[in-house]
Amino acid sequence: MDERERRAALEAGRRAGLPYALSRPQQTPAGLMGEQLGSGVGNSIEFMDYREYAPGDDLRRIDWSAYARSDRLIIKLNREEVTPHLDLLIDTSRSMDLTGTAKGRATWGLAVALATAADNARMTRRVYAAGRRLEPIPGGEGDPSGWHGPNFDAAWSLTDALHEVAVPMRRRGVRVLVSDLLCPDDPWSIVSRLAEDASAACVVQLLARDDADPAWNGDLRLIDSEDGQLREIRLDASAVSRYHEQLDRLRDQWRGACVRAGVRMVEVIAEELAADWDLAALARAEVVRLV
Amino acid sequence: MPVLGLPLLLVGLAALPMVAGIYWLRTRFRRQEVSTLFLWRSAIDAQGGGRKKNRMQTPLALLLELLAILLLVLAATAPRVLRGGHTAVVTVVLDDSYSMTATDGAGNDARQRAIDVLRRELDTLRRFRVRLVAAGGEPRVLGEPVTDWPEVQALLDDWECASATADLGAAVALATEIGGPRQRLLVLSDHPMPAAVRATPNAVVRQGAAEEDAEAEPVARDEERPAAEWGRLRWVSVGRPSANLAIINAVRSPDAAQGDKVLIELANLSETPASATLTLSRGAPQAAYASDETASPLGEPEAFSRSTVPLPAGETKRVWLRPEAAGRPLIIAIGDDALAADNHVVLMPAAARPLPVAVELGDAALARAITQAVEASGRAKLTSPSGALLKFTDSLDPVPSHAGSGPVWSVRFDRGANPAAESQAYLGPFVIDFDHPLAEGLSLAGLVWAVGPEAGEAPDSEQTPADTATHAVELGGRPVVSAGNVVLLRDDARRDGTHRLTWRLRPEESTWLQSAALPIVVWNLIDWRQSERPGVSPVNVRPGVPVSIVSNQPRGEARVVRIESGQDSAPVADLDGAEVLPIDDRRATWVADRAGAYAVVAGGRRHRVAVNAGSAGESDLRGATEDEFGVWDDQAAVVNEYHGLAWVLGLLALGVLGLHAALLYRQGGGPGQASGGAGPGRADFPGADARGVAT
Repeated sequence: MDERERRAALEAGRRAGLPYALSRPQQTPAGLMGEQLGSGVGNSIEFMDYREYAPGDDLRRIDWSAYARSDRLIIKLNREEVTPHLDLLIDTSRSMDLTGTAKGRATWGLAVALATAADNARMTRRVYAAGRRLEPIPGGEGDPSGWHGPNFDAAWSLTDALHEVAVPMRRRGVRVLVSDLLCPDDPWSIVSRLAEDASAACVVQLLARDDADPAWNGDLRLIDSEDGQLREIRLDASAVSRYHEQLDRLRDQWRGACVRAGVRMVEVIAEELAADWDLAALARAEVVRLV
Repeated sequence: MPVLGLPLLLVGLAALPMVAGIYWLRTRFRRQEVSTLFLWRSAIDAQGGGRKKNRMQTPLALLLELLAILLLVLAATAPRVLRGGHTAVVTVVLDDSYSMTATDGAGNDARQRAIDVLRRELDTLRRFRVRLVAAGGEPRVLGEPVTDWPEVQALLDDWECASATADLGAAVALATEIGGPRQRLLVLSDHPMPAAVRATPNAVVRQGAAEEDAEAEPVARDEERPAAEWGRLRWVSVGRPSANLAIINAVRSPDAAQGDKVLIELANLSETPASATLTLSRGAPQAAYASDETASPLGEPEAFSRSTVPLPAGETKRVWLRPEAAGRPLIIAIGDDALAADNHVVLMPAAARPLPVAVELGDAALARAITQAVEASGRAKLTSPSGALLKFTDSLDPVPSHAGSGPVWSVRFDRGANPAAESQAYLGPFVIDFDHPLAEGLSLAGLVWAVGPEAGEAPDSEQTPADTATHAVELGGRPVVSAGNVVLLRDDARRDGTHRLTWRLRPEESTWLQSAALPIVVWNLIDWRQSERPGVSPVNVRPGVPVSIVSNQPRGEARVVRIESGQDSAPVADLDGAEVLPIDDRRATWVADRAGAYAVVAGGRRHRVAVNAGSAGESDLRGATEDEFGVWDDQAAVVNEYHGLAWVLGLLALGVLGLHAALLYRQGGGPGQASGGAGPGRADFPGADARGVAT
């Protein structure tokens, strides 16, 4: 994918994300002081609870009306107001820009769409490239047009990347992983790491149509985009069937891991996404919502 | 070497690379990048444990398909191979005319080029049996059929190219007769194929074959009919056009009074004017030649005259000469050019032997007329009856059969049994036997021929009992001139070779003595008698013209040998290659077929004959050409001499296709499952066939 296609994908993703806002997580997120109620005690006007006064408490929070009625010093607690945070993890392995497919453009477009939706939800964000290790993309907090990289050239496993974190992900933040998940790693190790200390997490499996349903036949010399290994195969219905079995098994493993970790999982076909940039699949999975 | 009946169908071999290309396109491994391989591992392992295939993993099905196509294409081309043990019968007609000795600028003659062509043509045949026929004035077969080239070379030594003409049509007809209808016929000549033959090249061949068929059984003739239609005549012209000066004719007329008169015709057979340097030489006198048995017919030629004759382009000039060569051979030569054979002629002197004639006639007028006719002939002399070889008489006395110098012929004038009886005069028409030597040039128109009665029925009073008992038995008269059923002039041939003519005539009542017919008959009689004297006649001939040899012995043999230059010191009897002719009744006939000087020995006497092959047609090299016409391997020849292989190849192709089908069935486990149960549309996948075989 060249720079022109990349920029076109960024722009298409931005437009696709404009109608949407990233859904609020079920679990109260954490974050900097902001506009959304947090899970902790804060300074919002939202009443939360009462408790006995303890030395050191802010005298301004004493409910004097309650003291008049009960002659006890009662502290009135309000909910805190926070700004939620999105950690967007992009699988930058070579398979995410598979030659002859729309995976590269769809990945970039989907990342920008999610970033835009996060912006619409007044969430801060950080975009990580899951390559050799998990490290933020320069400019990932800002406008997507200013993102630098990453290149889809990583040859490392996703598991290794998530455990080699350059900048830790925000606690209680929302985490979204965009990947084709086509790796032999244990899904649980990845999903659990993703969900750890997250208020919400989502895995978006972005597959090319040829990944989901190979349409070739005949004698093929298959080349692994990750490591360049070659295997020759006579692709017939039997072989395709076996492939589907393996793919379904892999998906089931990921789904199971996601359910177990409370992570939502969405499956997207890159060519379909890049055709109309419709995020309905994400909306149906409540990853985003219409503004 | 196999031949292809339909070689154009070899274009079908283009299907081989096409099939191979389709196979390659369908079996090559296309590169396909995938996101990951681990999902494919199960499918790969199921197909062969993940082992890599090489490009030649499935060659057997392809090879079978290619082999089947190859066999079918070859079968379609109707291949044929020569039948085992087949020997090609070849008859070669060689132009034996002297024009084949014409050389080109490089010194190569047409004869050598023809030999080269013959060698090349025979090399194309695996086994052959070749017969050579030399086409001269008369075709002659050179030896027996031979089967290898050294033997052919040996036969070619007899091909001397010395004939004045080449009757190629007769030679081809002869070759067809002796070679049969299935032979290959090759004509080697410097002349182009005649247009008529080119239009119907097999007419001569078919004619010979048809005659052969007519003698065969009906069924066999039906079988042979296709063979008779073979186009087996191949004509190769090896001539090369060139300019030539030639002596195309030479005649020597004896003239005892003024010396021999010689006529030669010089031809400038070119497109530019030229001059011929005419050189006259004379050989040894007849007396010296006859006395020395080791002498050459030409002796030591002595040049005595040289002159230049201008010749316009393409024209012929006649030159009259009276050379000073009485009694000697005359050699006339012009300068060397492309064709040496026509650059000189040899003219032998005619024997100057006047015939002794005796005239014993009672009728004075008749005797005077006969005497004058004899003297006017210039070839006879009057002599006494005892020494005459020809007697004119009106006596009934018997004439002896032999005189001192040889057999005696007689002409008896018969006035009739009764001289007083009334004559019978005939005005004609007279029936003349023009085949008789006496009748040559004879005309009796307007003649009054009076004869006495019953003369023709008179017995031969000359016949003595002794003659009848020994050798002078009457053979019956041959009428030479008749008037109705009345014989007027009769020739009685006798066993001893003499002739007795009976001439019924009453001259005083006839117009014979005033007619020109009398000296004509006398001339013919003298000439005839002269030709029966020992010697050769004529002494200067063209090839193909018979030479009469008369011996003084009734039986024996005559030897004739051509004398080459340098072979002039050996006796004729000792020379190799002398032709021996049997003498029967004192005569032998020899037909010369080569130009040159010949020595003839018969009855102990030595004679000499010159054969000159001047021919305007052969000397004219302007029409010589190098060309080829006809082929040997025509369709009919292929059918008859070759085995067809199409059916064999077809069966092989069927076998291969059957094997191919069986292979597909075995690999596929049955129809429609050739690809390991891959499903519809996979059975025709080429690689599916061969994969299992290769692995």
